Amino acid sequence: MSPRLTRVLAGLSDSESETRRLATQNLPELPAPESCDLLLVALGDPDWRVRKEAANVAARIEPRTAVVFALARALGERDDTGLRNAAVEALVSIGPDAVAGACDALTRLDADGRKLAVEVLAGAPTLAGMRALARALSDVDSNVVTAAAEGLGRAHLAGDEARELALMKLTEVLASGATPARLASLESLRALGDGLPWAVLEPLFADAWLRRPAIAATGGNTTPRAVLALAEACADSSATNSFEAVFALGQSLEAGWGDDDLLEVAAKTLRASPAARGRLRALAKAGNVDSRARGAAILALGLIRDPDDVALIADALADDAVADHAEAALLLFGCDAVEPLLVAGRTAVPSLRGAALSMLPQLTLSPTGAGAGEEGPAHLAAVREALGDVSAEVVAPALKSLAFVGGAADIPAVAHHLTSSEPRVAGAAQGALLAIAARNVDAARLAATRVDPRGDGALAATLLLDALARAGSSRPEDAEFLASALSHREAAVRRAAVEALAVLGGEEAALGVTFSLADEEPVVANAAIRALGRLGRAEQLAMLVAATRDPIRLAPLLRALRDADPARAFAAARPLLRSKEAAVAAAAVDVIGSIPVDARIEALMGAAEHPNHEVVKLALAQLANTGDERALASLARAIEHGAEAVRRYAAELLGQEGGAEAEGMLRARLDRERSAEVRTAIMAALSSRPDVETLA
Amino acid sequence: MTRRLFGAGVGEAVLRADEYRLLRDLVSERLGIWFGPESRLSLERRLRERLTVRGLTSYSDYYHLLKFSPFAAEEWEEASEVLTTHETYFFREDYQLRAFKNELLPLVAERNRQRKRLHIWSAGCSTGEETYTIAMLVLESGLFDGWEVRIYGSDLSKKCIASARRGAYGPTSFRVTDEAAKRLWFRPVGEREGDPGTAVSHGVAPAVRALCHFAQMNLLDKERTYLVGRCDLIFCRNVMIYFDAPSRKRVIEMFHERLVPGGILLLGHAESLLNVSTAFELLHLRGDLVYRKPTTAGTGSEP
Ligand SMILES: C[S@@+](CC[C@H](N)C(=O)[O-])C[C@H]1O[C@@H](n2cnc3c(N)ncnc32)[C@H](O)[C@@H]1O
Repeated sequence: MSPRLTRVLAGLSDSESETRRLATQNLPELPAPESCDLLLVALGDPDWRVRKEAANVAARIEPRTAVVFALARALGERDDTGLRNAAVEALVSIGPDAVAGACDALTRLDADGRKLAVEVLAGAPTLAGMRALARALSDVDSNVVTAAAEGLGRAHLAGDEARELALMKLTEVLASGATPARLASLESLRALGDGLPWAVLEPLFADAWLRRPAIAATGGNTTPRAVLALAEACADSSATNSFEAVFALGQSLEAGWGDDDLLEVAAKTLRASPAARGRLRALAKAGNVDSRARGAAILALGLIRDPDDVALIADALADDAVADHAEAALLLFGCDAVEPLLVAGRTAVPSLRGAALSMLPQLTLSPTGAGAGEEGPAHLAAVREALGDVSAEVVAPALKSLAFVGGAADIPAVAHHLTSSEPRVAGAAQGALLAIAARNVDAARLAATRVDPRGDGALAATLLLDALARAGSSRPEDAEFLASALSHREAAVRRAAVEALAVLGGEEAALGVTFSLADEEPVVANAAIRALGRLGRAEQLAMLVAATRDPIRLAPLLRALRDADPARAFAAARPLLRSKEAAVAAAAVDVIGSIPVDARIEALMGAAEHPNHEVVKLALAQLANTGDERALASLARAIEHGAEAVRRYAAELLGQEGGAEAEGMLRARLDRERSAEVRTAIMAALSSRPDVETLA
Repeated sequence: MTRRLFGAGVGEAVLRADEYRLLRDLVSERLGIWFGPESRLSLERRLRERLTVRGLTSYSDYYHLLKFSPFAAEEWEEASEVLTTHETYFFREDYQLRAFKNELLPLVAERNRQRKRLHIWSAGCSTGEETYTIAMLVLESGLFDGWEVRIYGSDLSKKCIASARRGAYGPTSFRVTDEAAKRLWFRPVGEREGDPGTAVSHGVAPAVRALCHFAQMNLLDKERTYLVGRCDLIFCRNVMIYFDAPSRKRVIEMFHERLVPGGILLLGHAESLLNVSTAFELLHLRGDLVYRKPTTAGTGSEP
């Protein structure tokens, strides 16, 4: 007996479970057949930690076939539940290679054993396994049938054919099976995708057992009859049913947003039912930890449009998880929300007060708010008053609001906040000043006159000149002012001057901006680089790209060159893709991805082979963005990459990509993938539907 | 529909899907924190201010800064401030604290009676409330007089650690503290003479402070975590709920190593080690479930 074997044997028979667990870790190094025999010993250990460890190492023990069949036999060990469960876990971790063993077990074992075999087939999804599960739907034992129905919910992970088969078989069970199997089928049908037709769901609403899951399965359905049924179910006498209905209704509302007729169906029903409204209010309260249900309830309250609910909805503005729902709901109120919002804002905590303030302009500008003239001054006064608040959480949103609704009179107050030590206040003040000045050219000109370009008011004046230049109202003396402001002691002024000069244009401007490249503050130097791009200084930028040794400078330089002359930027960036320095290659990938010429595909495909993983990820992201078919070839290689991080990322992109070819690649990899992390990512990708990008 | 109605203001950058993925992975690698698809908007909102400060016009620029710039380390400090949740208060999750005081402390007092040493680590202590609470309970138990007691508090955030060291707290820190405990363990700061109840904040009593030591550290930075010696107990509550699975695993392994054999790990009520680690055993207390590092054969006492 080899010393190693002796050691492991001794370890496995030690009285300390920790020693046995450590010995288990060494099983894969042992020769067959002892490795396989001892694996079963460890899987039957009285301590669950040892069993778990054994299940973990099973996939690394050879020869596999022997291991699989030994494990499949263990599924039939009637008296040892611990061993049986551990064997299931081990088989699942082995993956597709375990399927033959489990199929075999399905034909030979007792009911409990067959149920475990079903679990294995569900855990390691393959077409052959799904076929076996479909057969198991006619098993004599009802537990096996239910488990098989559950397992078929993962058929989409085994390809289209498996999915079609599962859809057909599960629909049959749903129509005529026993209750537990019907429940499992309904769940599985949902998991398989595209949503069940209302005709299939409707009869289930009347079934005591199936009502709740049917409600859940209807979520997202936009058939008017389905929405109506969900709205009615919000008042269900059972609290769980009504909870489920609110949540499902929320999904349907989201899916049908913008379809006013559909929304009106729900609104009418909800308005007519005090019970439903009570439920909605309870769920919309701040204490509700389930933010998805809270969001759904908030949307529904928005439909009802009872002004008493505004404060409740506004509360949600301060919570990241539901803020979007609250915004959408308040928008449905339009100007009716303004009064209650102002009242609620007065006593609220700063973050909430800020959120309420930032809603005001949209409410009065929204379609329902248009024409409600008298609301204007009241809310404008509230926004102006908020500028004096001590908290940045109030002042910043107030400034953002003023960007939409502020007038000439607001210029001094807004300018006052430009020098705030809170970055978000200063940033919001800049945005507001530019926006207001663009609407009030004369007032802006007046405010920018007779200011010392090296003095205190220079930032405001510089921004105003920027806005005037954009509006086409520059004067000759502006260039002189800005050139002088380039030497201001504050970096913020220098940066603003650089940006304004870029708008102004001309040879003088370019000269001044060029000198600012040497500014010691990166924000100014970077602004200068961007400005040269806007000014079209391709020659100069190309020289800088060639000369720079600073990889961090390179990215903005290349981008500026692209703005000035895309073809030239492409030519300059292409050779850099092969740079060993990741930062350089990454900068090149970034810019090449954004230049719409055909040659970029090939270039990016090359970059996807870079030795640095992060560069590979960047290149893949850009390739996927192009939407070009050739991207798939790179993704196909990346999903086989040596680094887990890259494989995970490629899986996600393939999931986004969608389509038969991408799915095929994912499935093929799933069959071989050993890393649990990557397997999870692949399964998630197979379950995801490519979502439509929502760009603002 | 509801997405992105008003997220970005005039001229503000928007987080594109590809930028989201890259930043998400970067944050997960560095901080362990996972921003799943449902948190994309939250990631965008939290980082927006950083773009403003750095004068950047896109999230892609910000990604390059965090990944490749020589200023990356500096920027990560700022980024982690905005990406983490610091919410905490004194005597949080009191059922667990009762179990700690009534069941675990006597256990350790018995085990360590010869060496007379008690080391506890409050990992991810935020602004220090948890660390001080632990110290108060240790004092209250009366089991460790004359012992070497050290309670370490650590957090990723420098700002949090600074305010933990300051040790002065406003009303939100006392949301579940009863008046008796408040009188016993705190001193009012800035109270108007002869006018009780006007204090703007409350400072932790010197006896409590004396036990507590604070340091900034990232729990994923193994080297730095060595600075905390071997511990008898580790509290890590409401920290790893935000982590992805691999980071959780790394941190748990690190805790395992930092604990003496028989040492105890306490997690928040919503957290569990199932599927993360088989290296701990479950210890059922009357009032709670905690995790214990097994004492391996032959080593009855700690190294
Ligand atoms: C919600 S607080 C929990 C405070 C306290 N433990 C409690 O339960 O009340 C979470 C803290 O974990 C910290 N944190 C997050 N990621 C961390 C990491 N990678 N390393 C160290 N601390 C981290 C955050 O800075 C934050 O202060």
